[in-house]
Amino acid sequence: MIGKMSEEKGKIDMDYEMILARKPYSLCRAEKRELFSKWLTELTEYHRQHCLPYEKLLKALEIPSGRSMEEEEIPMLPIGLFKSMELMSVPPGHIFKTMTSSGTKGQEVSKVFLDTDTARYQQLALAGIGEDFFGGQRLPLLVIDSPDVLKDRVMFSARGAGILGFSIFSSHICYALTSDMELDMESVEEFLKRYKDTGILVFGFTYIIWKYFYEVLARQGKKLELENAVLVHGGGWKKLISQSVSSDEFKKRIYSVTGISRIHNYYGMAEQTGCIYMECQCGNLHASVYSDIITRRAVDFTPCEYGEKGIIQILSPLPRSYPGHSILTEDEGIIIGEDDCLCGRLGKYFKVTGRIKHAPVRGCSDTYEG
Amino acid sequence: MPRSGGAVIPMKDEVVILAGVRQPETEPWEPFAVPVLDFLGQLSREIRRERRQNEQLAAFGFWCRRSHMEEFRIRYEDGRFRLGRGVVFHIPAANVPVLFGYSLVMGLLAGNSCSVRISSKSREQDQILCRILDRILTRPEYKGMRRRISVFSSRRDSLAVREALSACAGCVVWGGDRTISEIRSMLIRPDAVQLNFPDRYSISILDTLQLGYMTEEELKNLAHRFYNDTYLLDQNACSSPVFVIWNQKEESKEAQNARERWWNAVAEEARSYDLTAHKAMAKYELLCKYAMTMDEETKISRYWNRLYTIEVQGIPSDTDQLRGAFGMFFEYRGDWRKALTRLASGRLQTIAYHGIEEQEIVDFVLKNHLFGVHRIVPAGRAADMDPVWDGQDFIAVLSRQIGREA
Repeated sequence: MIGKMSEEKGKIDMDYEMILARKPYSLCRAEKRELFSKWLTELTEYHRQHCLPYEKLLKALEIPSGRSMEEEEIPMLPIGLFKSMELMSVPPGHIFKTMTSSGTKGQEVSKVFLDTDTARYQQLALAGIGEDFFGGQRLPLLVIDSPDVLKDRVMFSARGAGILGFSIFSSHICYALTSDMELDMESVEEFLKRYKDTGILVFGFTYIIWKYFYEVLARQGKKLELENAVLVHGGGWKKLISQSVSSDEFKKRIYSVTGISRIHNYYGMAEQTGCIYMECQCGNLHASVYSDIITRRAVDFTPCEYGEKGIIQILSPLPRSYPGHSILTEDEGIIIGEDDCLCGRLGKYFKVTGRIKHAPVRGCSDTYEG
Repeated sequence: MPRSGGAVIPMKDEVVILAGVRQPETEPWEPFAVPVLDFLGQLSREIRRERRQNEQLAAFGFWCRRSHMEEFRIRYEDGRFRLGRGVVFHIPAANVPVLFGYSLVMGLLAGNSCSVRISSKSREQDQILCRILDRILTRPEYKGMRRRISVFSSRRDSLAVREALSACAGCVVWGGDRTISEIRSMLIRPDAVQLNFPDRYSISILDTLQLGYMTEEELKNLAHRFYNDTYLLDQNACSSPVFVIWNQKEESKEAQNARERWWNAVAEEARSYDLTAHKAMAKYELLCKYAMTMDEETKISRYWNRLYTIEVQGIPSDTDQLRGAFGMFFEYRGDWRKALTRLASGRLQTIAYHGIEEQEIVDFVLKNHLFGVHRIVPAGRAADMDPVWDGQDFIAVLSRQIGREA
């Protein structure tokens, strides 16, 4: 059955067109569960047949072939494996770009292998989500980053991917920072002069916006006219939490230097690009129809109840060129509910509470520290 | 010089004395000198009186009791004459609670003064031990011992470490290969002796049928001791078994039941293990990675996240590289001799056995001229410290024997 499916490639693609044709927040719990169980079971089989290490894992875990699984039963790959292994489910010749996570210097980064199909699915998913939040029309895009991030088109960082991803919503692009990460006031002001009445999309990574945009403006006592703009930012709070900047504080401070009141954080990662989790006006992150989230308990990985903090698992039918359809992340979060957020979007909504805390490990090696 | 009992992060060359004096005297004593045994006896009493709730510290207190030290002393009553060497400098692993205590005791028993550098990141139990040590040492009756002990914290690259190394008559370095190489590259006296404890791994050999015969109570006890050997140090100590060899001739329903019963008993003990989200993630990642990369066919069993086992059909060739962590074990069934031949690289430290004769293992190691196997102990005793550790004799190396014509 499965073998036949992979031969009839067109049929699978039709499935994807169907997935991607849906409105991003249009599936209620029962429908989504049924579809995700079916899609992810199929995809598990697909990766079993196309990625040898993945097949070995499934065999070792004694996960039988051909049985349909519930969404919660889909085996999960720990996200760290994308750092230490090169996992793909297509021949290496089909890889059209390799995405890397934005690790800090010296850290190992994840390598995510994309073929043209998977890259396209992910881009369409992002477009669908973006359209829901800022409409279908293309907007002038102010990127709070340096254009240099996009220089290497083959090895692609998450920062570059984010920018490129969001550029699909843009009619014109202006990079607010120079190669040296200096705020390019002249270009920004000119851009604002031209577009301030049309509505502007501002995009960047949380920490970069804070450090190279907000702090510079605040220091100079400058205020930009961005009242009509929407700011979208992501990439994690880790660095800002260490500076005690909360989400509310961030919004308040950004407003004070730009006048932007529509600020959306998002949660997402290189290992499942495209299907990001956008923050709605109620302050909740939302799973779209292109992906789903489960939180799990550390003791046995059973799913948490709503309201209970757990390790975040992300699931998506989009990753096809690499076995990243069910990933156990190193983040913790709380699912607040499903289908009943006051913003009206269907699907699960949640908060991310941060990275898993690393505790010192006992043992004889790695000793002479400190 | 600042004195402090608390955790302080020192500046580059700052030294914080945690117990004893800054500069210990150099005079060698005879091994097992009475003042040393008296002092350790007192230390044991005070730890046991106050610190029953700190598991590893309490175990150390029990270990250094007078009668136990006397047992060690009697072992070296062989009619030969020994004296210590002077000052022995200890660099213990920071991640093993109270390891520095054991190392210090060995140095003292061998007849030496001791200086010990502990990490500024040292944890609660180490700090408590320092406070108790210092409190006893400040009493007039232990004035003589006080002069022979210096426990300090400093940065690893501090002048104090380089000075202690260059002046000592011997040094004891615990920890990974990297640490040892680093210390070896530093200046040290030409006549100084060195005891190094590099990266090691350990295994367990269990006789399947013997385990099957055990009562519930016996099994629970053994599982508890096995838990202590492994989980208490995050299964990351060199003495913690990573591999379990099931000694059995052929597979049977009984054998299968016995193994399942064992792992269930271990998983039950592991209920008390503090499995944080970080440990659970790291353990699951390691499990998946082995399953995905090992050449051999593997079969995984999971007992919640408390215990994972990876059964292998054959012993892989790179066993040195296999690591357990937080309660993850490789298992193999078959004849233990066959397995041991494949596993016994120079890095194989401890065999913790149950259901087979110790002498059989000793004979096998000798007859086959194996590189590895430095300790053979009953299961549950893998972490017990002994003057002979990792194939080396603390007392013999850290003292000198005065040779005479026979």
